[in-house]
Amino acid sequence: MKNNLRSVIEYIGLSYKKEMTKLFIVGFVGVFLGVFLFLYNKNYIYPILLIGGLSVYFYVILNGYYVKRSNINKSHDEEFIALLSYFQTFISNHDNVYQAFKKLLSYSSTWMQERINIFLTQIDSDKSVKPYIEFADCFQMKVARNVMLSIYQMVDEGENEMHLLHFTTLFNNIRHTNIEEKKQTQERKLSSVSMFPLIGAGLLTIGLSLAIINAMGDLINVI
Amino acid sequence: MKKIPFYSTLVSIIFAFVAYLGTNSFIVAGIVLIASISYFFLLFHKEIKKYVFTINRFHECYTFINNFIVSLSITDSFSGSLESTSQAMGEDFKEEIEGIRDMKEIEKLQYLEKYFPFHVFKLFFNTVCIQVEEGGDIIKMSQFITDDIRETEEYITHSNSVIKRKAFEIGTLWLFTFFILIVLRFALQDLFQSFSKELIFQLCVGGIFFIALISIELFTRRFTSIKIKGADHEE
Repeated sequence: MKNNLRSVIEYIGLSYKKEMTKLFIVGFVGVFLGVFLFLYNKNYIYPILLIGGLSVYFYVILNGYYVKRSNINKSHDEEFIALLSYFQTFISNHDNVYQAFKKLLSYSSTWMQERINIFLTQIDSDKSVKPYIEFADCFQMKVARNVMLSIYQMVDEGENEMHLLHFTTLFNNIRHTNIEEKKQTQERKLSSVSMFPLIGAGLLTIGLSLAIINAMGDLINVI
Repeated sequence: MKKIPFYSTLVSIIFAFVAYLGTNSFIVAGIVLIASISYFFLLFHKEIKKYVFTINRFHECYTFINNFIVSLSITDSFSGSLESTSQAMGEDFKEEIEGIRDMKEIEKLQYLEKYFPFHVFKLFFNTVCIQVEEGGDIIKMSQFITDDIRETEEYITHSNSVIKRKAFEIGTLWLFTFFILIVLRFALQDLFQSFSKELIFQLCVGGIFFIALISIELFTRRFTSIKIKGADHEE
């Protein structure tokens, strides 16, 4: 997967030109406002604060594109795991692999439906392991390959008890790991909000320092 | 849920009061009050309401599926199981079932896919249909469904305890920050009179409340983004 900004923006479904135009306009307005405030107040503090604010804004927006891409990939992986639990139910109720995947279409997002349809079309003509690997490669999680290989074995060697057990064991481990990861991710995300009160206290300290400096400056001028 | 507007108003008033204490400015206090009330009533309340509705509906779904499967395995009667399971459910569900009492039993269960808009319920309905048509042990056939739904229920329960703990931690940290502001106001009384008039100080104090609202919104988004497959608000 390409990591440059243009490919990331296009991957998440946005237009590179539009996003760059928006950033340019915000930057231009920010610089114009900074110059205006400096000329109006003759005070360096406002342009410095504005530059600081703009830097934070650009960092958040640009980093946000990479975060969105990562979230999209994660949601695809989670959808894959969710669909596997349904696949497991269909298989245990005596559907074959093809029928089970076909039934998964009604539980899938548009993106997943496209991938499953491609996969089903490929396994119609190609009886090798290749379509299974190509389907697994749509996901970031490495264990997707193991799962699809296990499913291929079910098709190739017959859906006997041993293969079903192997698949069930593999899938249960994945599901358990996924749930634990979700719990830890949620706890980590909620914990990261704790930094905001510290930012607030920091802002209070900065405001206090700047106000005192300004007041002292005025006092010195009077003296 | 009903207490949320009361607590939202109370927090907004406290924010505005602390902003006034910190800046001696009615303008800053007024802006903080309007921003807080707008945020809590336009955004916060909506997000919480949606989240609570989805979670409660999922709890009902969990109860329904488990009771129905157990009842069906014992009685082997679809209509009997639906009847006995419905009696154990809440008022909202009973109203829903009352509204569709003229439908056939299997149609009622299919209609409930709208009431329980989760993938697991759709899967449960498909499994029950297979059992009704072809027979078989419903407990064995729905084992993966019950495992899945139980895990989701456990995840929600775990989430709720984490949310309460983190909300207490973050709330305490914000209380300390506002306490520092109030202490400064009274401890540096004379000096405070001179620098509270500085625009930069008022902007910074106003900024603190803006950051507080952002942190509340971020926290709310992060805990309400719980993913239940098939639910409307799933990302």
